[in-house]
Amino acid sequence: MAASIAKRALKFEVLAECSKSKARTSKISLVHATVDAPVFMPVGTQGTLKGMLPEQLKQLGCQIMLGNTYHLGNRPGPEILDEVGGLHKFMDWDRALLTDSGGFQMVSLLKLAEITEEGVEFEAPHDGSKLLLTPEKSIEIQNAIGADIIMQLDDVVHTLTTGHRVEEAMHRTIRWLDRCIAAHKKPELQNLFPIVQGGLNPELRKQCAQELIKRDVNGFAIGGLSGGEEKSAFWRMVSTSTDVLPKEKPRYLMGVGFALDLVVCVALGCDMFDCVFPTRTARFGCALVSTGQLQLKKTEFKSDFRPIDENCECSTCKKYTRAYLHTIAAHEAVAASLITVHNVCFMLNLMKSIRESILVDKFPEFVQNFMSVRFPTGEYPSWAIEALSSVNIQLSPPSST
Amino acid sequence: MALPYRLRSITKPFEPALEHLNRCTMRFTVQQVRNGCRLGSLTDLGPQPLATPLWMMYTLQGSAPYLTSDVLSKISDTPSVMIVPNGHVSEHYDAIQKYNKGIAAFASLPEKLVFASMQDPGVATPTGFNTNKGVAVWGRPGKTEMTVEMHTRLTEALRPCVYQAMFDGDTPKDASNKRMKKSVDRSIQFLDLCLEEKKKSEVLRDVPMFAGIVGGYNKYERARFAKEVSKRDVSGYSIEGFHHNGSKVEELKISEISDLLQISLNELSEDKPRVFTGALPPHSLLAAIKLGLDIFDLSYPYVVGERGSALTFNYVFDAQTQEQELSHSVEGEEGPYEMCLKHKRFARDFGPLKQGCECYTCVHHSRAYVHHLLEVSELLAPILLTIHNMQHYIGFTQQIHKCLRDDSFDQLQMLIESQRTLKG
Ligand SMILES: [Zn+2]
Ligand SMILES: [Zn+2]
Repeated sequence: MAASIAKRALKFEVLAECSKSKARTSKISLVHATVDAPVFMPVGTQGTLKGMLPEQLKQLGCQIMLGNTYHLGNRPGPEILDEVGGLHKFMDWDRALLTDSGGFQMVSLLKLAEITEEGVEFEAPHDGSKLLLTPEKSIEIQNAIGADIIMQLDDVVHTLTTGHRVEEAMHRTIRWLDRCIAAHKKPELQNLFPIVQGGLNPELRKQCAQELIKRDVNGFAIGGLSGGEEKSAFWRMVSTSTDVLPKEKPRYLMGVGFALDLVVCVALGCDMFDCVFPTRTARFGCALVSTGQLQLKKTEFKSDFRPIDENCECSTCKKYTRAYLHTIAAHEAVAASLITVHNVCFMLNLMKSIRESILVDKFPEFVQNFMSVRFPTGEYPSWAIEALSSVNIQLSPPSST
Repeated sequence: MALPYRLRSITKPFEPALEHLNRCTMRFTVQQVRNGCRLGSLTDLGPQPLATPLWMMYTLQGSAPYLTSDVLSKISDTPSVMIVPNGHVSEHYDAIQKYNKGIAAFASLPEKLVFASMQDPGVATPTGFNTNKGVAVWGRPGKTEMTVEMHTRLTEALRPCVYQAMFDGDTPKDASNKRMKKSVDRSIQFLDLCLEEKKKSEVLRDVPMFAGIVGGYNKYERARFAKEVSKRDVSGYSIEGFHHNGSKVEELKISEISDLLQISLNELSEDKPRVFTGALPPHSLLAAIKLGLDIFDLSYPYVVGERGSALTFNYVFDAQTQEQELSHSVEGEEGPYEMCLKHKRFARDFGPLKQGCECYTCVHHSRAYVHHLLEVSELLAPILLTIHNMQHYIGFTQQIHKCLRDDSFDQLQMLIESQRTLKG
């Protein structure tokens, strides 16, 4: 199978399109796995997904996960990853991987990051020495990690920044893309995705996307969103970007993974999503369910002998009660593993349902149903109503069954 | 058409298999005594007879440390019995009691038998908190002062196959004679109250109760207590008062307690099982078996994993692997039977934790990867270490059985001793 796609590290095949909205379901064939999209990618920041064996992830049907270049570049570092033959081997994960560029992590984690034309300059957290992450360096590390999809280094500005800085960042992102493409040493194995920037300015977004699509790449990411901006601006930026991006290439919306955002952004034409939320929140005893979340530490679960979700097929729901999880949620490490398994399963199931509904052209009905379950009183967020109606999905109040 | 995604009502509770929770009266037979080592069999406790020496799985709040029941099943031959310390579960008495199927089923390990213990063998027990009314037991939220009444109610809810009577085993090596006398006086009192409660309790009436054998490091008190116990109707003995659990037990010298232990055993019936809990390193474990002790637990591999170490000692008579493994130098807090994967020297070591080990961790992962996970404090590190350490120690216990049967126990002791002196 690997041989047939050797010439191209990514093959994208749209299986069905929603007749109303921009939603589509597709197959993304990568070197290590064929990924069914729309897809949610769980985040395994440091070469492991919080308390889960890679085998458990596979059992849940996970086809692709994320690693963070900033963290992996620090530890274990590119030399060790090169020596062992990449992150796949290092962590015993034989399916697909995606890495970010490291730039976002740097700007958000390190206060002292300074951005110049050369790259992102920062102080090393352990010894304070000055380091520089250039587009070339980011690609070099990502080449060593060896993920199926890698990201260009982009000039990240805070979502709420306005004015000249946003425009500067957008242009620099395009210049850096060309440096990344030139530095990329494994195009036959790894796909470099450019990132659409442009803040909350639709003109800049459009301009950026139009420039990016001139490059010979296999897919695109939409970045710089999900940073605390107004939801009404958020969805418009997503939709503006997908309008420009070509239909025959996958679109990855970075850092978005709340169930509602995900359903809406599938309608707006996005194919790939990632978010730390489902795994991070598990550590605090929070389980995801179709109606929202269960805070298992709460005393209401003290003698609730039901599973988190009776219809869930995950190993946690098959064996464990809410009551038992309540007793360990705050104390035992094993609770984090158990709830993580469920939360990842929940996200993967959500995506599966989305895909199945698009395949039979029932996606609008799926969305209606999803919203009725999540908002039983019918008080849908106005931004979601707007976003969905922009792609011809009109929500009606929940039926009283 | 049915939509693929919808809310369905959630109502069905779990119905685990519970046959073994039916009343049972334990029988213990010593089948062989050689050089002090006993081979025996416990019957009528669970569905299968249990061979002694027996090891109980160590647990935290009813689960194997760090392992979901799914991951636990990747370890072969895990013990049939798990030890559940009172302090871990006392806080959740209400829920466990209401669940009504015992702690094993509550913690999703319905096939395991439960040994309900007072203290946690894997964590140091704070000293100086017991009173005439009760014994301090410890869990994640801290101290619970356990009275006999509470102890009885909690034990009923846990549905154990065996449980410890309440005792005051708080007798550090340097404890005064007064403290040791107090420990004995109180423990006799607690034992009598527990026996009374047992008779009254419909649930516990037929569940075997083991007496905690105390007396600290005082010969007279050891004899006095054991004599009292011998007059009473208990099903087995739990040897207590020699240590305070946790990693300090690794330093316990079995030779220093053997005379005192013998004083206790002299007064007690030979055909009852003897429990000795605590994180015993291999040489101590073998010495304890030689003193005629029968039942132990797996807190040692837990304690080793907690410091980021993997067990690597050899228990198979195979000179080649032995030489290979012994060649590395010991660093830092590393004990003689382990390698601490926190050390930099493992950063680019892509071999398995132990050459030839067939555990899940060693088949799938490298020392370098576990080192990395420890470096970045990822939860998968203790998971992978627990899998390997438990599997390795279980292999050791199987080898002990083999050696007891084919009369090569002394050789095994020498093999272990050679590794201890070489590195330690
Ligand atoms: Zn589940
Ligand atoms: Zn192993």
